[in-house]
Amino acid sequence: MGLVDAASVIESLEAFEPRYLPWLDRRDTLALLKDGALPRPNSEAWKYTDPVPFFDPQDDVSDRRDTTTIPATPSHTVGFESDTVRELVTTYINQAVDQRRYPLAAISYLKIDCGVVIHVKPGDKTESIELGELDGQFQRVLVIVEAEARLELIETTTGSNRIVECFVAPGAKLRHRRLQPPGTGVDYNLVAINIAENGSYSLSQYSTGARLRRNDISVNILGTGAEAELTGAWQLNEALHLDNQISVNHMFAGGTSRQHFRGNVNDRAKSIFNGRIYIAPNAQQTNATLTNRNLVVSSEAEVYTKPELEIYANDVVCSHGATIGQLDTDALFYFQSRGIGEADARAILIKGFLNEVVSHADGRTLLGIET
Amino acid sequence: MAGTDNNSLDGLVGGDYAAGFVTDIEADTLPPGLDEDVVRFISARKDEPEWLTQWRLDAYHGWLDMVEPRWGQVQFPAIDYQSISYYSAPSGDQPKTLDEVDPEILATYEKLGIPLHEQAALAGVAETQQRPPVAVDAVFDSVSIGTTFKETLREAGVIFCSFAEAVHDHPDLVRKYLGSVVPRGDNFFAALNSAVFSDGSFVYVPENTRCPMELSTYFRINERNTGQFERTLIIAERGAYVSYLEGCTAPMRDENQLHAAVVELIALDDAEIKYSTVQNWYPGDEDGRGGIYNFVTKRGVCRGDRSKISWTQVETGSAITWKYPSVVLRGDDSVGQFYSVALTNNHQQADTGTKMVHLGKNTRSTIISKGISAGQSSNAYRGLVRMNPGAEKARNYTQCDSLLIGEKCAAHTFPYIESRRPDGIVEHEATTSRVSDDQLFLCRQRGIDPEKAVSMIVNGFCKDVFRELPMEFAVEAGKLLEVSLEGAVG
Repeated sequence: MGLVDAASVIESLEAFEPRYLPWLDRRDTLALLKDGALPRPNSEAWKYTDPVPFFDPQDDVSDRRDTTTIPATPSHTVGFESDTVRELVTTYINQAVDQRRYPLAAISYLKIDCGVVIHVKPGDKTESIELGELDGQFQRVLVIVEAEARLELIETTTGSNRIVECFVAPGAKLRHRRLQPPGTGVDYNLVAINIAENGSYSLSQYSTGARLRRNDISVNILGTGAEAELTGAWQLNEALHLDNQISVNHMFAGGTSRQHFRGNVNDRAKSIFNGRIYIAPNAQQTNATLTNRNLVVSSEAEVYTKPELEIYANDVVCSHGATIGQLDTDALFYFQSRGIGEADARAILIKGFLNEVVSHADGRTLLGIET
Repeated sequence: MAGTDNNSLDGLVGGDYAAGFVTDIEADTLPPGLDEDVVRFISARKDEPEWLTQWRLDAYHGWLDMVEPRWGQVQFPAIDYQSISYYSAPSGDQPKTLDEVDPEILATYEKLGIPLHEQAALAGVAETQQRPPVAVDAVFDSVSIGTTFKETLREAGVIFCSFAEAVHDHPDLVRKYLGSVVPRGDNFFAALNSAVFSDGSFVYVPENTRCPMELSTYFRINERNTGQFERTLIIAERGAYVSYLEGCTAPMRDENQLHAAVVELIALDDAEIKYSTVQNWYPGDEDGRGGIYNFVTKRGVCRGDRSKISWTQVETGSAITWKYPSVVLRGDDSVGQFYSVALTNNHQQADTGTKMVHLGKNTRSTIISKGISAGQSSNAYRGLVRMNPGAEKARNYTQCDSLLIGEKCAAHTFPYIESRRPDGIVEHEATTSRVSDDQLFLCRQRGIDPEKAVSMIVNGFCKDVFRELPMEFAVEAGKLLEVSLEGAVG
């Protein structure tokens, strides 16, 4: 793994003059980066993905701000520059992001060049919002779902640095679907979610890889009865790379989280999964589970998985499981004995494997497992 | 927890440490400090050949450039390596036979229940039962004070002696295998050990030989401000089998003492090594004062085809445990196993687990780890399963469960799984929970008092591991667990 040249990253950040949202207070973030938040050699978070390309400051595109476009969706969606949301932006931005843990999100904040606020007012049962590509390099999306409101967010993203912050207020519900088509570059994503009491958040993430793609997900359970359900599926071919790093943080008693991720890894692709469940002292009566299952179908593919439990409370029920394996030869034989060729049989079994965690047609299309 | 109160819970985890006494004997102890002269002194004292002195010095120079690993889920103040004494031995000439050993020392082992007389029966087992004998190598601070049943073993062709003896009597074997599994620059503590190791056990089982009895080493730290750095080397030739047990205790003291051992196992074709540990170093008092820092490197290589290495450990002692008994599965069809019970109480911290590195075809590994945390302790499982590109059809199954007793304890699981094989199968499962109310209720309903019930449940929780222990150790382990948990569970 390469070494991130912290000094030159800091230097370029200090020289950087923000033109977009100059009124944002960036000082603390810069101070924090200077204070050693950048990845060190042998950084655990970058064990299997080379961090250097992610921190390469060469392609600054801060001039893009004038071209920022907001997708033509109904109400609720407003660009950061609008005066009407300035207060929301200053109130919420970085509230769900632990910038020390996610230094790329900190850099993204300093260099932000495009932002969107989705604000669902209390009790509003908005059907759904689609959020496509945004025209900017360092994108920030704030999703605020107020008390008892509901939202379905369908997001498509490739090739950028995008930070999505979600705030689920008491009793609110957010259904979040993310589609990640193949990319060719270096791609960083962070989804950070704060869930208040009785709030509910669900993620369905369908991914392929990029030259290098990193998905960080951070969920904070902040109230009794808060619920998070994360599911994801990925299909990696060729030399694509996908690194999923998930941390579900139970900061409060009486929360529930369930995670189920499955991936199929082919050719020379590389799949990395790290799923952490953190239970703070006093976060009693927590129920948390995590499953990660991987299929490896090529001799050159690489799969790394690490489910982690970090538990500081005793009245909890936690479990995790991870497997790496291949298609069941008995099942393949069964198909073949009934006249279905090996290639078809394999395709059917892979579909079946991924379908456990795929519940949307667009997800199936993306993963190439339409029925 | 239904119908239980926290007071009795706290009580059960507070058993006394029975091995915490000090033996008052004259000892030659080096003044604290570490430099080239200390390394040379230890080597000279043991009358070692030039190559070994050089080997130690190389390790020492390598160590100077290394940094203490801090990635473990454990916290401890900086260790001052210059304040430790690196050599301590009972005064006088090295005893030739057990009869020449200082009676005080013999009494110490007697008190600990370790039979140093060949006719003695094993402690912890009913007197009336006839037990097969166990050969013991007793290590007191920095030196081995005696090894039993040497004659019987020699007849079978098995070499079992202290490391220092092996260097003199079997220099070729030592030179060939020393550092071949854990190189002297492997990690900070292994490098330190390579520079200053004082004694330890050496086992060599020749071809197609089944070692006629269990071998055992008993380590005892006695002197104040000393570190213990022993080295164990076990070689099982083609078709050989050996079962080896290791036990350890130390006096109760307010300061922390360092124990940095290295264990190397080598199994050739069709050989099997079974290595069992009951680790009961002094864990420190209720407020976390004192106790042993147990920073140990243990690794085995299944060098031959169809060879097998099995680690079984019961860890109840030490203020801090940092150890990962590992197996490198190099031979085709070789098997690695790791069974572990780690119990932490009060302020104890443990970061322990295993590494299974699959290199050969059809290699298989099993990991069963049971962690129990009580009081304000922290207990982490950290493991690695790696399937390298050549490990055709390799297979691993891992299960690690944690049991939480008490509101302030912590349990962690960090399993690394790396696969580069399309036909390898890796399965990992982990659960964390406290003693279930339903189980407790069931026991209590049948008139079993809460303390007994929890003890039963904990024993059941650990059964998969205890089953792997040799009989004598299983008895000891069960007792140890009961004592360590006393008052903790209601």
